[in-house]
Amino acid sequence: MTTISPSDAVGFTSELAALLLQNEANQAESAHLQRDAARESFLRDAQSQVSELNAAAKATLTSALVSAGFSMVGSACAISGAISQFKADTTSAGLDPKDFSCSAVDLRRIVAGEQKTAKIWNAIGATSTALAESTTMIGQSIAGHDQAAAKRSELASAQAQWEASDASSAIDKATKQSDTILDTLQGIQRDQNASNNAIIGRI
Amino acid sequence: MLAVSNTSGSAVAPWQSSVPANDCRADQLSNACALLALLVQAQSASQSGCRTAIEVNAQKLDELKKELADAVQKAKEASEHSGFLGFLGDVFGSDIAQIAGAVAAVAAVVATGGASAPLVMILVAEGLQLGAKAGAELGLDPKLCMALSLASVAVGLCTGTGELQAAGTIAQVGRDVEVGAKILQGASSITGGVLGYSAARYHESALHYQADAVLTQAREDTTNLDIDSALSMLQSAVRTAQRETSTASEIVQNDSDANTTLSDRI
Repeated sequence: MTTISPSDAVGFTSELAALLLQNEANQAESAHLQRDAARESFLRDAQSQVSELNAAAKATLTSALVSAGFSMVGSACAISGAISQFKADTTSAGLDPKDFSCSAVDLRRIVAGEQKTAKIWNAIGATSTALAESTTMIGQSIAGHDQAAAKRSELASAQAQWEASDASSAIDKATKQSDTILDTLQGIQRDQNASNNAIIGRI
Repeated sequence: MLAVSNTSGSAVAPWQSSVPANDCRADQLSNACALLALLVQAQSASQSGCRTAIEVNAQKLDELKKELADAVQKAKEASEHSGFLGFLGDVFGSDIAQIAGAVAAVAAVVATGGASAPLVMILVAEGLQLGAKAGAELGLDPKLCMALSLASVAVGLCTGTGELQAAGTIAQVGRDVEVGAKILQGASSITGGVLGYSAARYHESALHYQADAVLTQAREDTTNLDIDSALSMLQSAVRTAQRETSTASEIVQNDSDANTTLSDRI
């Protein structure tokens, strides 16, 4: 008749429990690794987001500086053009269209020169103002691109945070499973000890 | 497993010799207690390390919270300054410049209108006045309506002057107004550019502070993760210590029960 000794039963149970505990320990270790990786990824993505935000700030300031420079140059040129035009108009206002004396011819030459200067200033001013607007648009576009990249990094870091949280949950779950296995094993041992004592008492 | 290895060995033929069995149990008991002491000591060291980590991380968390609040506050202030200066820049660079431009355009019409300038100006003033009223009723941009009204007033003034003086004088006044308005337009645009640059500088500062806040928030989150991890390890160490103590107690209890049973039996 084949009998199963108590020590064998305890050994089998212990072996099974050891295997289960090893399994849970492996899962916990894996979750630890996942959490560490997610933590690193989170920090890396956050750093990337910071870099993108700094790049957006730099682009904003650079474009504002260039745009303000063009705008100021354009406005200054426009003022110069207006003054030149004013001089030309004021000078030409005193001219009689029928007067062709030397002084009148000189004045007309001066007027023509002032008008030419005014046109040049106005053209430079208009170009500079247009460049200011274009620079602003380009700067806003670059800053917007950097902001979008920062947003992508923010989303990636949020995902990494969720992964870290999931890994923490997996670690907790593995720990609870290990506790349950150990509790069960303790109960089996307790029963086995009681059984042994009962057998000793009966012998 | 500790109990298993100890009790399985001690349960073999206890009735053969009570004295050696008792000696063996005593040895096992002392061994179990020694092992328990070692394990509890190890768990205590682990718990102490976890507590230290929690305290250090908690202090770090407090500092990071202060840094985060500071960065957020600075970013908010910079954004407010940027918004205010941006508004002023828009007013100078856009609204005032547009009004000055409109005045300059009307003055140019007056300056080049010659002898018919008074009539032209009256027509222009009336037209602008009507345009401003109709625009306001039709829901046109209030700024544009204001510009039309101002231009109307300016032209009206020129008209009044024109009625009193000769056409040449009116043209000269028109030219003066035109150049003045253009200079004002240019100066306003320059001021708007400077204010816009100042606003951009504050915006840049706000973005930098925002970046600092993001970095501090990330550090705070990782510190929270570290605290959670340390707390989890501390809980695990406490549970393990309790389990080890419980297992050792069960070993002792089991040995005691076995001894009692053997004594009763003998």
